[in-house]
Amino acid sequence: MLTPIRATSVLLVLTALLYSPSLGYGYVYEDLNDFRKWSEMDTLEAWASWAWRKPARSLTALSYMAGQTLSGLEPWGFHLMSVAWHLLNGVLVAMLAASVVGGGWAVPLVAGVFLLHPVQVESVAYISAHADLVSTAAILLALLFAERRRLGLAFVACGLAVLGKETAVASFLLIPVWEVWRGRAVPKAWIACAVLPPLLLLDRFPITLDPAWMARTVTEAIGLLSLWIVPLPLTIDHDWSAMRIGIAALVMLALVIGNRPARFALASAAVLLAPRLFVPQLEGLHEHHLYNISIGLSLCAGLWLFGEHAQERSHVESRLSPLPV
Amino acid sequence: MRWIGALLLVICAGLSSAQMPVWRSDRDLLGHAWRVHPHLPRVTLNYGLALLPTDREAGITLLVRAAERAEDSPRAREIRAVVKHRFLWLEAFGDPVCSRPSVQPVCSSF
Repeated sequence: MLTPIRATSVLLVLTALLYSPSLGYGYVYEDLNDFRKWSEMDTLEAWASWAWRKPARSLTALSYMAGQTLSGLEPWGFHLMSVAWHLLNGVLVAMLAASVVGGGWAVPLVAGVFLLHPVQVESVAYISAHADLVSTAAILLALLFAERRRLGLAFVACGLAVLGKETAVASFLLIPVWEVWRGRAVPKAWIACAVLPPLLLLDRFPITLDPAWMARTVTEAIGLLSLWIVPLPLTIDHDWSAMRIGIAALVMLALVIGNRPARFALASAAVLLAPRLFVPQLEGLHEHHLYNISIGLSLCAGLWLFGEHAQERSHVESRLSPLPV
Repeated sequence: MRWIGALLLVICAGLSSAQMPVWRSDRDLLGHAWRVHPHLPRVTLNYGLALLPTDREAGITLLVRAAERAEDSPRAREIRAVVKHRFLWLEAFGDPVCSRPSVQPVCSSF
Protein backbone atom coordinates (compact mmCIF):
# COMPACT_ATOMS: atom_id res chain seq x y z
CA MET A 1 0.00 0.00 0.00
CA LEU A 2 1.39 3.42 -0.98
CA THR A 3 1.85 5.75 1.98
CA PRO A 4 3.17 9.33 1.86
CA ILE A 5 6.57 8.19 3.15
CA ARG A 6 6.82 5.45 0.52
CA ALA A 7 5.70 7.90 -2.15
CA THR A 8 8.47 10.29 -1.13
CA SER A 9 11.00 7.45 -1.33
CA VAL A 10 9.74 6.55 -4.80
CA LEU A 11 10.15 10.17 -5.85
CA LEU A 12 13.75 10.17 -4.64
CA VAL A 13 14.49 7.07 -6.69
CA LEU A 14 12.71 8.58 -9.69
CA THR A 15 14.81 11.75 -9.34
CA ALA A 16 18.02 9.73 -9.20
CA LEU A 17 16.99 7.90 -12.37
CA LEU A 18 15.99 11.15 -14.07
CA TYR A 19 19.38 12.76 -13.41
CA SER A 20 21.51 9.64 -13.90
CA PRO A 21 22.22 10.52 -17.59
CA SER A 22 24.09 13.61 -16.37
CA LEU A 23 26.89 11.32 -15.17
CA GLY A 24 27.83 10.93 -18.84
CA TYR A 25 27.69 14.63 -19.64
CA GLY A 26 30.70 16.86 -20.18
CA TYR A 27 31.82 20.28 -19.01
CA VAL A 28 29.68 23.08 -20.42
CA TYR A 29 29.56 26.89 -20.49
CA GLU A 30 31.46 28.27 -17.46
CA ASP A 31 32.41 24.88 -16.00
CA LEU A 32 36.04 25.00 -17.13
CA ASN A 33 36.48 28.57 -15.82
CA ASP A 34 35.44 27.42 -12.34
CA PHE A 35 37.27 24.13 -12.63
CA ARG A 36 40.60 25.92 -12.98
CA LYS A 37 40.07 27.24 -9.45
CA TRP A 38 38.82 24.03 -7.87
CA SER A 39 41.31 21.71 -9.53
CA GLU A 40 44.11 23.28 -7.46
CA MET A 41 42.48 21.88 -4.33
CA ASP A 42 43.51 18.29 -4.67
CA THR A 43 44.43 17.82 -1.00
CA LEU A 44 42.78 18.72 2.27
CA GLU A 45 45.74 20.97 3.13
CA ALA A 46 45.33 22.91 -0.12
CA TRP A 47 41.63 23.33 0.61
CA ALA A 48 42.28 24.47 4.20
CA SER A 49 44.81 27.04 3.02
CA TRP A 50 42.39 28.37 0.39
CA ALA A 51 39.43 28.36 2.81
CA TRP A 52 41.45 30.37 5.36
CA ARG A 53 42.21 33.05 2.78
CA LYS A 54 38.77 32.99 1.12
CA PRO A 55 36.10 31.49 3.38
CA ALA A 56 33.26 32.28 0.98
CA ARG A 57 32.37 29.18 -1.04
CA SER A 58 34.81 27.05 0.95
CA LEU A 59 32.06 24.51 1.61
CA THR A 60 31.35 24.32 -2.11
CA ALA A 61 35.08 23.89 -2.72
CA LEU A 62 35.06 20.95 -0.32
CA SER A 63 32.26 19.38 -2.35
CA TYR A 64 34.21 19.93 -5.57
CA MET A 65 37.21 18.31 -3.92
CA ALA A 66 35.08 15.28 -3.07
CA GLY A 67 34.00 15.07 -6.72
CA GLN A 68 37.61 15.31 -7.86
CA THR A 69 38.55 12.52 -5.44
CA LEU A 70 35.92 10.33 -7.10
CA SER A 71 36.69 10.98 -10.75
CA GLY A 72 39.86 13.05 -11.04
CA LEU A 73 39.53 15.45 -13.98
CA GLU A 74 36.54 13.61 -15.44
CA PRO A 75 33.22 15.44 -14.94
CA TRP A 76 31.17 12.48 -13.69
CA GLY A 77 32.36 12.84 -10.09
CA PHE A 78 31.12 16.44 -9.96
CA HIS A 79 27.82 15.47 -11.57
CA LEU A 80 27.44 12.68 -9.00
CA MET A 81 27.98 15.16 -6.17
CA SER A 82 25.35 17.49 -7.70
CA VAL A 83 22.77 14.70 -7.88
CA ALA A 84 23.61 13.63 -4.31
CA TRP A 85 23.14 17.18 -3.02
CA HIS A 86 19.82 17.50 -4.86
CA LEU A 87 18.55 14.23 -3.35
CA LEU A 88 19.65 15.35 0.11
CA ASN A 89 17.86 18.66 -0.41
CA GLY A 90 14.75 16.72 -1.46
CA VAL A 91 14.83 14.80 1.83
CA LEU A 92 15.26 18.04 3.80
CA VAL A 93 12.37 19.67 1.90
CA ALA A 94 10.18 16.66 2.72
CA MET A 95 11.10 16.98 6.42
CA LEU A 96 10.31 20.70 6.32
CA ALA A 97 6.98 20.06 4.59
CA ALA A 98 6.11 17.43 7.20
CA SER A 99 6.86 19.96 9.90
CA VAL A 100 4.58 22.54 8.28
CA VAL A 101 1.58 20.33 7.37
CA GLY A 102 2.04 17.56 9.94
CA GLY A 103 2.25 14.71 7.41
CA GLY A 104 -0.15 13.57 4.69
CA TRP A 105 0.03 13.63 0.92
CA ALA A 106 1.16 17.25 0.76
CA VAL A 107 4.64 16.07 1.85
CA PRO A 108 5.46 13.95 -1.22
CA LEU A 109 3.90 16.61 -3.45
CA VAL A 110 6.12 19.34 -2.01
CA ALA A 111 9.19 17.12 -2.21
CA GLY A 112 8.24 15.93 -5.70
CA VAL A 113 7.78 19.45 -7.06
CA PHE A 114 11.15 20.47 -5.59
CA LEU A 115 12.92 17.37 -6.96
CA LEU A 116 11.28 17.08 -10.36
CA HIS A 117 10.36 20.59 -11.51
CA PRO A 118 12.06 21.23 -14.89
CA VAL A 119 13.47 24.58 -13.71
CA GLN A 120 15.71 22.58 -11.33
CA VAL A 121 17.48 20.82 -14.22
CA GLU A 122 20.00 23.63 -14.70
CA SER A 123 20.92 23.62 -11.00
CA VAL A 124 21.56 19.86 -10.96
CA ALA A 125 22.98 19.20 -14.44
CA TYR A 126 25.25 22.27 -14.53
CA ILE A 127 28.41 21.75 -12.49
CA SER A 128 28.96 25.49 -12.02
CA ALA A 129 25.65 25.72 -10.16
CA HIS A 130 27.06 23.50 -7.40
CA ALA A 131 27.22 26.42 -4.96
CA ASP A 132 23.43 26.82 -5.11
CA LEU A 133 22.92 23.16 -4.18
CA VAL A 134 25.32 23.33 -1.24
CA SER A 135 24.03 26.62 0.18
CA THR A 136 20.40 25.49 -0.18
CA ALA A 137 21.12 22.39 1.91
CA ALA A 138 22.38 24.66 4.69
CA ILE A 139 19.37 26.99 4.31
CA LEU A 140 17.04 23.98 4.65
CA LEU A 141 18.90 22.90 7.77
CA ALA A 142 18.49 26.41 9.17
CA LEU A 143 14.73 26.31 8.54
CA LEU A 144 14.47 22.85 10.14
CA PHE A 145 16.37 24.04 13.21
CA ALA A 146 14.09 27.08 13.38
CA GLU A 147 11.08 24.74 13.30
CA ARG A 148 12.53 22.88 16.27
CA ARG A 149 13.20 26.21 18.07
CA ARG A 150 16.97 25.66 17.96
CA LEU A 151 17.75 29.16 16.76
CA GLY A 152 21.42 28.95 17.73
CA LEU A 153 21.88 26.01 15.40
CA ALA A 154 19.80 27.80 12.75
CA PHE A 155 22.26 30.70 12.97
CA VAL A 156 25.19 28.33 12.48
CA ALA A 157 23.43 26.73 9.51
CA CYS A 158 22.94 30.17 7.93
CA GLY A 159 26.67 30.71 8.35
CA LEU A 160 27.31 27.42 6.55
CA ALA A 161 25.00 28.57 3.77
CA VAL A 162 27.24 31.62 3.27
CA LEU A 163 30.24 29.29 3.07
CA GLY A 164 28.36 27.60 0.24
CA LYS A 165 27.51 30.79 -1.64
CA GLU A 166 27.86 34.43 -0.59
CA THR A 167 24.35 35.45 -1.64
CA ALA A 168 23.00 33.03 0.98
CA VAL A 169 23.75 35.81 3.49
CA ALA A 170 20.08 36.60 2.87
CA SER A 171 19.19 33.43 4.80
CA PHE A 172 19.79 35.41 8.00
CA LEU A 173 16.78 37.50 6.97
CA LEU A 174 14.85 34.48 5.64
CA ILE A 175 14.58 32.93 9.12
CA PRO A 176 12.64 35.91 10.59
CA VAL A 177 10.36 35.83 7.49
CA TRP A 178 9.79 32.12 8.12
CA GLU A 179 9.05 32.70 11.80
CA VAL A 180 6.51 35.42 11.02
CA TRP A 181 4.83 33.19 8.42
CA ARG A 182 4.67 30.36 10.97
CA GLY A 183 2.99 32.72 13.45
CA ARG A 184 5.90 33.02 15.86
CA ALA A 185 7.69 36.05 17.28
CA VAL A 186 11.19 36.83 16.04
CA PRO A 187 13.72 36.97 18.90
CA LYS A 188 15.39 40.36 19.21
CA ALA A 189 18.75 38.62 19.61
CA TRP A 190 18.38 37.13 16.13
CA ILE A 191 17.71 40.51 14.56
CA ALA A 192 20.74 41.98 16.37
CA CYS A 193 23.08 39.12 15.36
CA ALA A 194 21.79 38.79 11.78
CA VAL A 195 23.14 42.24 10.88
CA LEU A 196 26.75 41.12 11.44
CA PRO A 197 27.30 38.64 8.56
CA PRO A 198 26.24 41.05 5.78
CA LEU A 199 28.53 43.71 7.29
CA LEU A 200 31.44 41.23 7.22
CA LEU A 201 30.90 40.65 3.50
CA LEU A 202 30.71 44.34 2.63
CA ASP A 203 34.43 44.83 2.01
CA ARG A 204 34.44 42.08 -0.64
CA PHE A 205 31.00 42.93 -2.06
CA PRO A 206 30.47 46.68 -1.70
CA ILE A 207 26.91 47.85 -2.14
CA THR A 208 26.20 49.77 -5.35
CA LEU A 209 22.90 51.54 -5.92
CA ASP A 210 22.39 51.29 -9.67
CA PRO A 211 18.71 51.78 -10.64
CA ALA A 212 19.27 50.31 -14.13
CA TRP A 213 20.80 47.15 -12.66
CA MET A 214 18.04 46.88 -10.04
CA ALA A 215 15.33 47.26 -12.67
CA ARG A 216 16.99 44.65 -14.86
CA THR A 217 17.35 42.22 -11.92
CA VAL A 218 13.73 42.64 -10.85
CA THR A 219 12.56 42.08 -14.45
CA GLU A 220 14.69 38.96 -14.79
CA ALA A 221 13.50 37.69 -11.40
CA ILE A 222 9.84 38.05 -12.42
CA GLY A 223 10.59 36.31 -15.71
CA LEU A 224 12.39 33.43 -14.00
CA LEU A 225 9.63 33.06 -11.38
CA SER A 226 7.12 32.80 -14.24
CA LEU A 227 9.02 29.67 -15.34
CA TRP A 228 7.69 27.95 -12.23
CA ILE A 229 4.17 28.33 -13.58
CA VAL A 230 4.93 27.93 -17.30
CA PRO A 231 8.35 26.20 -17.54
CA LEU A 232 8.96 27.09 -21.19
CA PRO A 233 11.34 27.95 -22.70
CA LEU A 234 14.16 26.71 -20.50
CA THR A 235 17.57 27.84 -21.75
CA ILE A 236 20.89 29.08 -20.41
CA ASP A 237 20.00 32.55 -21.70
CA HIS A 238 16.64 34.31 -21.60
CA ASP A 239 15.03 37.20 -23.42
CA TRP A 240 11.94 38.28 -21.56
CA SER A 241 9.09 39.90 -23.43
CA ALA A 242 7.26 42.80 -21.81
CA MET A 243 4.00 40.88 -22.12
CA ARG A 244 5.34 37.87 -20.21
CA ILE A 245 6.75 40.09 -17.46
CA GLY A 246 3.51 42.03 -17.21
CA ILE A 247 1.30 38.95 -17.02
CA ALA A 248 3.64 37.27 -14.52
CA ALA A 249 3.68 40.36 -12.30
CA LEU A 250 -0.14 40.50 -12.30
CA VAL A 251 -0.41 36.79 -11.46
CA MET A 252 2.05 37.22 -8.59
CA LEU A 253 0.12 40.19 -7.28
CA ALA A 254 -3.11 38.17 -7.38
CA LEU A 255 -1.43 35.27 -5.56
CA VAL A 256 0.01 37.55 -2.88
CA ILE A 257 -3.43 39.03 -2.25
CA GLY A 258 -5.38 35.78 -2.27
CA ASN A 259 -3.01 32.99 -1.21
CA ARG A 260 -1.15 32.75 2.11
CA PRO A 261 1.47 30.20 1.04
CA ALA A 262 2.21 32.31 -2.02
CA ARG A 263 3.00 35.24 0.26
CA PHE A 264 5.78 33.27 1.90
CA ALA A 265 7.02 31.97 -1.46
CA LEU A 266 7.27 35.45 -2.94
CA ALA A 267 8.60 37.01 0.27
CA SER A 268 11.34 34.36 0.42
CA ALA A 269 12.10 34.99 -3.26
CA ALA A 270 12.43 38.72 -2.60
CA VAL A 271 14.68 38.13 0.43
CA LEU A 272 16.95 35.56 -1.25
CA LEU A 273 17.33 37.63 -4.41
CA ALA A 274 17.86 40.91 -2.54
CA PRO A 275 21.70 40.68 -2.36
CA ARG A 276 21.84 40.57 -6.15
CA LEU A 277 20.06 43.93 -6.36
CA PHE A 278 22.98 45.71 -4.72
CA VAL A 279 25.98 43.93 -6.25
CA PRO A 280 25.97 44.35 -10.05
CA GLN A 281 27.38 41.37 -11.95
CA LEU A 282 28.46 40.85 -15.54
CA GLU A 283 25.85 38.14 -16.02
CA GLY A 284 22.20 38.48 -15.09
CA LEU A 285 20.01 35.89 -13.40
CA HIS A 286 19.89 32.29 -14.55
CA GLU A 287 17.56 29.42 -13.74
CA HIS A 288 19.92 27.99 -11.10
CA HIS A 289 19.49 31.22 -9.10
CA LEU A 290 15.96 29.99 -8.39
CA TYR A 291 17.16 26.84 -6.62
CA ASN A 292 16.96 28.10 -3.03
CA ILE A 293 13.79 30.04 -3.87
CA SER A 294 12.21 26.75 -4.93
CA ILE A 295 11.89 25.83 -1.24
CA GLY A 296 9.12 28.39 -0.81
CA LEU A 297 7.66 27.74 -4.25
CA SER A 298 7.42 23.98 -3.60
CA LEU A 299 5.79 24.56 -0.20
CA CYS A 300 3.36 26.94 -1.90
CA ALA A 301 2.42 24.30 -4.50
CA GLY A 302 1.87 21.63 -1.86
CA LEU A 303 -0.10 23.81 0.52
CA TRP A 304 -2.18 25.27 -2.27
CA LEU A 305 -3.28 21.88 -3.59
CA PHE A 306 -3.51 19.99 -0.35
CA GLY A 307 -2.91 21.42 2.91
CA GLU A 308 -3.41 25.05 3.83
CA HIS A 309 -6.11 23.73 6.12
CA ALA A 310 -3.63 21.13 7.29
CA GLN A 311 -1.16 23.90 8.07
CA GLU A 312 -3.79 25.72 10.14
CA ARG A 313 -4.61 22.46 11.91
CA SER A 314 -0.91 21.97 12.63
CA HIS A 315 -0.79 25.51 14.08
CA VAL A 316 -3.77 24.84 16.35
CA GLU A 317 -2.42 21.48 17.49
CA SER A 318 0.94 23.00 18.38
CA ARG A 319 -0.79 25.55 20.61
CA LEU A 320 -3.09 23.15 22.48
CA SER A 321 -1.64 21.93 25.72
CA PRO A 322 -1.90 18.14 26.23
CA LEU A 323 -5.00 17.06 28.14
CA PRO A 324 -4.31 15.67 31.62
CA VAL A 325 -4.65 11.89 31.81
CA MET B 1 -6.35 16.34 -5.09
CA ARG B 2 -4.01 13.38 -4.84
CA TRP B 3 -4.46 12.60 -8.51
CA ILE B 4 -3.99 16.23 -9.52
CA GLY B 5 -0.74 16.24 -7.55
CA ALA B 6 0.37 13.00 -9.20
CA LEU B 7 -0.45 14.41 -12.65
CA LEU B 8 1.52 17.55 -11.84
CA LEU B 9 4.55 15.47 -10.86
CA VAL B 10 4.29 13.34 -14.00
CA ILE B 11 4.25 16.50 -16.12
CA CYS B 12 7.24 17.87 -14.19
CA ALA B 13 9.18 14.63 -14.64
CA GLY B 14 8.38 14.54 -18.35
CA LEU B 15 9.49 18.11 -18.95
CA SER B 16 12.66 17.58 -16.91
CA SER B 17 13.47 14.43 -18.83
CA ALA B 18 13.06 16.33 -22.10
CA GLN B 19 15.31 19.13 -20.83
CA MET B 20 18.15 16.89 -19.63
CA PRO B 21 19.86 16.22 -23.01
CA VAL B 22 20.30 19.96 -23.49
CA TRP B 23 23.09 19.79 -20.88
CA ARG B 24 25.05 17.04 -22.62
CA SER B 25 27.64 19.36 -24.19
CA ASP B 26 28.30 22.99 -25.06
CA ARG B 27 27.06 22.35 -28.58
CA ASP B 28 23.75 20.96 -27.29
CA LEU B 29 23.34 23.66 -24.63
CA LEU B 30 24.20 26.67 -26.74
CA GLY B 31 22.54 25.25 -29.85
CA HIS B 32 19.31 24.91 -27.88
CA ALA B 33 19.63 28.50 -26.66
CA TRP B 34 20.23 29.67 -30.24
CA ARG B 35 17.18 27.82 -31.56
CA VAL B 36 15.06 29.49 -28.87
CA HIS B 37 16.59 32.98 -29.30
CA PRO B 38 18.21 33.17 -32.77
CA HIS B 39 17.88 36.96 -32.79
CA LEU B 40 20.11 37.54 -29.73
CA PRO B 41 23.72 38.50 -30.64
CA ARG B 42 25.24 37.09 -27.44
CA VAL B 43 23.46 33.74 -27.95
CA THR B 44 24.59 33.64 -31.61
CA LEU B 45 28.15 34.43 -30.48
CA ASN B 46 28.22 31.68 -27.86
CA TYR B 47 26.87 29.07 -30.26
CA GLY B 48 29.29 30.14 -32.97
CA LEU B 49 32.21 29.75 -30.57
CA ALA B 50 30.95 26.30 -29.52
CA LEU B 51 30.67 25.18 -33.18
CA LEU B 52 34.16 26.27 -34.26
CA PRO B 53 36.06 23.16 -33.13
CA THR B 54 33.76 20.72 -34.95
CA ASP B 55 32.02 22.75 -37.66
CA ARG B 56 34.25 25.70 -38.52
CA GLU B 57 32.22 27.07 -41.42
CA ALA B 58 29.00 27.16 -39.44
CA GLY B 59 30.85 28.69 -36.49
CA ILE B 60 32.38 31.44 -38.62
CA THR B 61 28.99 32.21 -40.18
CA LEU B 62 27.44 32.61 -36.76
CA LEU B 63 30.30 34.77 -35.48
CA VAL B 64 29.92 37.11 -38.45
CA ARG B 65 26.17 37.26 -37.82
CA ALA B 66 26.74 37.98 -34.12
CA ALA B 67 29.13 40.84 -34.92
CA GLU B 68 26.70 42.33 -37.44
CA ARG B 69 23.70 42.08 -35.11
CA ALA B 70 25.65 43.41 -32.14
CA GLU B 71 25.04 46.97 -33.35
CA ASP B 72 21.91 47.29 -31.20
CA SER B 73 23.16 45.20 -28.32
CA PRO B 74 24.15 46.81 -24.98
CA ARG B 75 27.29 44.65 -25.08
CA ALA B 76 28.14 45.45 -28.69
CA ARG B 77 31.81 46.32 -28.06
CA GLU B 78 32.36 43.19 -26.03
CA ILE B 79 30.76 40.95 -28.67
CA ARG B 80 32.73 42.50 -31.53
CA ALA B 81 35.95 42.26 -29.49
CA VAL B 82 35.38 38.55 -28.86
CA VAL B 83 34.66 37.92 -32.56
CA LYS B 84 37.77 39.87 -33.61
CA HIS B 85 39.89 37.98 -31.10
CA ARG B 86 38.64 34.64 -32.39
CA PHE B 87 39.22 35.55 -36.05
CA LEU B 88 42.77 36.72 -35.24
CA TRP B 89 43.31 33.47 -33.35
CA LEU B 90 42.18 31.47 -36.41
CA GLU B 91 44.49 33.52 -38.64
CA ALA B 92 47.39 32.86 -36.26
CA PHE B 93 46.77 29.14 -36.72
CA GLY B 94 46.86 29.39 -40.49
CA ASP B 95 43.25 29.99 -41.49
CA PRO B 96 43.02 33.33 -43.38
CA VAL B 97 39.40 33.98 -42.36
CA CYS B 98 39.60 37.76 -42.74
CA SER B 99 40.33 37.41 -46.46
CA ARG B 100 36.94 35.76 -47.07
CA PRO B 101 34.38 38.04 -48.75
CA SER B 102 31.72 37.32 -46.10
CA VAL B 103 34.10 37.95 -43.20
CA GLN B 104 36.09 40.87 -44.62
CA PRO B 105 33.50 43.58 -43.80
CA VAL B 106 33.43 42.41 -40.19
CA CYS B 107 37.23 42.34 -39.85
CA SER B 108 37.63 45.75 -41.50
CA SER B 109 34.98 47.37 -39.30
CA PHE B 110 36.98 46.92 -36.08
